[in-house]
Amino acid sequence: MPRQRPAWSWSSSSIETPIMPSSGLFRSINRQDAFGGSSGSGIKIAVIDSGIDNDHPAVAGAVRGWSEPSIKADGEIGFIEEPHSDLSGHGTACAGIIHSIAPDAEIYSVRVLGQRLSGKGRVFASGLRWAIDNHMNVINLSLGTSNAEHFSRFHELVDEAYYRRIVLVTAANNMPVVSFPSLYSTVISTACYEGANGPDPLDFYYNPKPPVEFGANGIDKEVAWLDGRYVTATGNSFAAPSMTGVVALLLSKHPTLTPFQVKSILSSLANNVDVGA
Amino acid sequence: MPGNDVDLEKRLADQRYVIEQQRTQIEQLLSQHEENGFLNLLKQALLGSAAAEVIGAPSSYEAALEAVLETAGEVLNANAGALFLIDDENQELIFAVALGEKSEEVKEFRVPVGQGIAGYVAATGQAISITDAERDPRFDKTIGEAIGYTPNSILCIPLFLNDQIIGVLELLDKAGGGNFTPSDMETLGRFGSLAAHTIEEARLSHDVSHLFRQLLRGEARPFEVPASSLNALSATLAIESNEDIIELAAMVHKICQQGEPSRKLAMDILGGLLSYMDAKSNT
Repeated sequence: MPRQRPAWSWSSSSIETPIMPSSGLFRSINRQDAFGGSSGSGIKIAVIDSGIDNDHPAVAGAVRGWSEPSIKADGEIGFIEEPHSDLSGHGTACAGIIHSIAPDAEIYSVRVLGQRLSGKGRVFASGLRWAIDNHMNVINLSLGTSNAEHFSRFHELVDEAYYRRIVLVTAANNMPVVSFPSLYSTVISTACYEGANGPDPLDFYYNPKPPVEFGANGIDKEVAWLDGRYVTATGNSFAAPSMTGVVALLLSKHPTLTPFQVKSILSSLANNVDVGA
Repeated sequence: MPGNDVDLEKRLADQRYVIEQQRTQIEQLLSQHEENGFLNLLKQALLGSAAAEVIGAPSSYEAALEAVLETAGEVLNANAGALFLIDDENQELIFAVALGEKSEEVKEFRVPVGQGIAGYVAATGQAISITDAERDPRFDKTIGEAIGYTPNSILCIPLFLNDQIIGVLELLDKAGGGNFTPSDMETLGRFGSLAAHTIEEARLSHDVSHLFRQLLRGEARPFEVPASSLNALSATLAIESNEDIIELAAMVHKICQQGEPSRKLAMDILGGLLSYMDAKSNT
């Protein structure tokens, strides 16, 4: 695997915003036709994270299902599908961002972060497995693993999601390290980008130098946290849910789109893509 | 570490190679950061860790940890901060070093992985910056109380050693009241990579230093020490064979057992030999 390739390939600074020429083939695509008027209805979104506080005003009861994979005494993975809380606030922050963009989308909380690290990669993969098997349309992954042992396991899962027409939106790691699934080519890898910090929550940018392909609002962002409160946070973790929300809007209006079509459309609609006259 | 099967010699060689690479990276970092002092600060931290290789400096490991945190805090103008190391066995974050008024009181303090900002960063490997943290009184309460106050802004990054997270570096409150910026996160992220290797280098040196002292004191018998540890010690001392180092340690140990006059005589002879070698190398 490419151990020396930096995961971080997207500067948060807007100083060097690249203007991308649009192919003439895609010039007829516009935001209104793509997701104008959409609210995300009919779309199921899994948030694989630390849990979600469904009572938080920013989430407003959008969570329709829960799953918590864990390693049982016999070593097998079990799933608890009772409502759970958020352990850190991070999952609630992601869900709140998604809900603000796609208010009618159904959110499913998949809690893979407990108090212990042991088995983390396996539990994380099991959460992704659950989301695929339960027919989610979009999966938000504002986390990743850098452990090379899990490279193949996640690659298989991500490919399976791709062929099942499930869109994975991942937060690129903020650190200059290899991290996956964000490095796989089929996911929508996202970093926070200063240029996307305007008043329009649907602003996003395309990065011509992958592996990080999209930049979205994730800088000094007011996000939901524990106890019904809010904090101002910065991180790629908070940019990915913005893209997840946009994907939900798009799929809600055009439910037959495949992941590669979604990515092509998003790259055509990015703020820095010059559609020409 | 005695009893550890890990090939310390190879790891030490790897770490030295990384240090060389880091020096090159530092030169590149300078051009990316507006503060000219950044280069010198990083250099001091890394050269400090390189100096920590010197055998017989039991405090070198802690000194390296402190240098990492202090450098990070100074570069980003943080009022306080903490460096946590991950205890793999207990799945907890241990306060290794802290900056702030109550820094001494927080050592050996433990935070469950997965909880709070530091725990979340350790569990996910994702860096996070938070502003207005005081709006949630539960927010990082543990750290705030331990260090002496509740922070307003937090910048927290994982410390990656290759593909493993070995700890978390957390800075609290930027001096002057400003927020940590995305640029700060990028800078600290790059520094974190260097810091993790610095910490590992210092840890390995500390382990080798510990082994050497044990051999000299007769607390560790050579046949009980893993060959890998002896190899690492030989490499550090630039001695060609393990037999030589065992014999050297055994001789020193026997001389010391003869009593104070013998020990002093041995020290005088060795000291004289060292002075002669130093003088010879300088001519």
